Amino acid sequence: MSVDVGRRVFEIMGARGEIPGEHEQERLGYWYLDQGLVDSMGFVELVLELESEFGIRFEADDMQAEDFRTVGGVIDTIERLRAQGV
Amino acid sequence: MPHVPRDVVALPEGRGRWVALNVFARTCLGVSPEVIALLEAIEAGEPAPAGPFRVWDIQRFSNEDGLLADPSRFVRDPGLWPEAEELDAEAALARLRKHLMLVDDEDAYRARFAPKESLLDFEHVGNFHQQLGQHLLLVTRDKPGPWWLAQKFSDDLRSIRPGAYDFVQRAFLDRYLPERIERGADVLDLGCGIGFYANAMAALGANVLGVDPNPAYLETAAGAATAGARFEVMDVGRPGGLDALPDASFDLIFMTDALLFYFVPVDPASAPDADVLVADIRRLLRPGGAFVSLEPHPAFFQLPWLGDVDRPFTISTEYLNRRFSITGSLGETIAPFLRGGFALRRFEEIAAQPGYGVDDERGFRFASEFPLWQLMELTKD
Repeated sequence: MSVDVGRRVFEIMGARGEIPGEHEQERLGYWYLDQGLVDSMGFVELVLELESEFGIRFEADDMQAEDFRTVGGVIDTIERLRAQGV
Repeated sequence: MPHVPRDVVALPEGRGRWVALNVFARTCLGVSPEVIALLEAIEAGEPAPAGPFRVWDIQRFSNEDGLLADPSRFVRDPGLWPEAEELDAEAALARLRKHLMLVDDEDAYRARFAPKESLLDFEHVGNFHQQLGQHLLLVTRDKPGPWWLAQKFSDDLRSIRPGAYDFVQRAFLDRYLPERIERGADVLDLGCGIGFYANAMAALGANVLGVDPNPAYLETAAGAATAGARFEVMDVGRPGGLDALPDASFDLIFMTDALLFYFVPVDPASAPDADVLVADIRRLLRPGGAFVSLEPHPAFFQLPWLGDVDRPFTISTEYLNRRFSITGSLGETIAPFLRGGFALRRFEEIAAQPGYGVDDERGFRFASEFPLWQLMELTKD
């Protein structure tokens, strides 16, 4: 995980509420959507902010993936898309 | 065991191409005859025939072109199909599974035909509203509010865009309203939106009050108000929502494209109550007054559009139990009014209006066969 991407994702998501966990691994595995950090409209706003921040675009397939429901999964997806230059 | 669901049909497209459709899931895939043979072999429990298997990724979310544009979810013109992909048997079967042309477990497959549980629920098929919302928010990133308005109205919101709203609804009302609206009549437009038809009725000499729960819509309505039209925010369909209006104060109450949400609500948890609405209408109408309803007909959202342009047909998958579509049945729509002491005085099924110029022949022909709206006039018994 790139430190910069991870840090910014935690900042952006953390601005919406607390991401619980004592250790980083626990916080990366936080199911932010299922556990109510954001609702549906909040999710759309989050996606738009992440896309703008990292200059990427999530496709429906990215957002459908179960991984995308965790903080770590979002970070992984961003890093993959950045590596692909999407 | 893998099998082809009985919901799948294949239609000839010519030149060795077929359109395979799952008519319940509304998924589509262009396939070559070898793919049809592959499905036959699966059904017969025989080895896969020789490939290669050609498929065309022709599925699309047609409502991107407009709410009332061709809702069939495949690229209509074979000349615009993408390049064929040549797949081996394993890849072809995977693609057929993805598009629900092939399933392994019938029960699990059937379980997918349920409402979506969240915006990110791609597993369940959901209803039209859910599919559209998911597509607008996650794929095209449109804001649903402005998107809806842009489907019907021109950019300046002063006219109706070309399409079915124009050549069916507006064309009908252009004929009907001058016949029906009397100068000096007091008219209430329930759920008036941006006030397009409220203003049209005021221009015919009526005193029109347009009410709607959406303040942003009414701000637009007030900005374009014709003399004789005024607008107020009111929570139509909620208990007490119209209490500010005195009894027996209107000669005619008009409602269009709003009653459907009483029968198939966007959000089932907060459905408006048709009986409340009917009681309000009954209270507000003067003796001899009428409620005029112009609503999407149960044939309004039939998809796919199939057949030659001059011989349109569709495949209906539901009528009484709406799992996908967005209107009530005829009986459901009329029942609360009969229960509330109204009599149905006039009923018309509104198809495309002859003589109106159109640039969408398939849509016009389809709307000439399957009525898109229905007019009801109801009076107090």
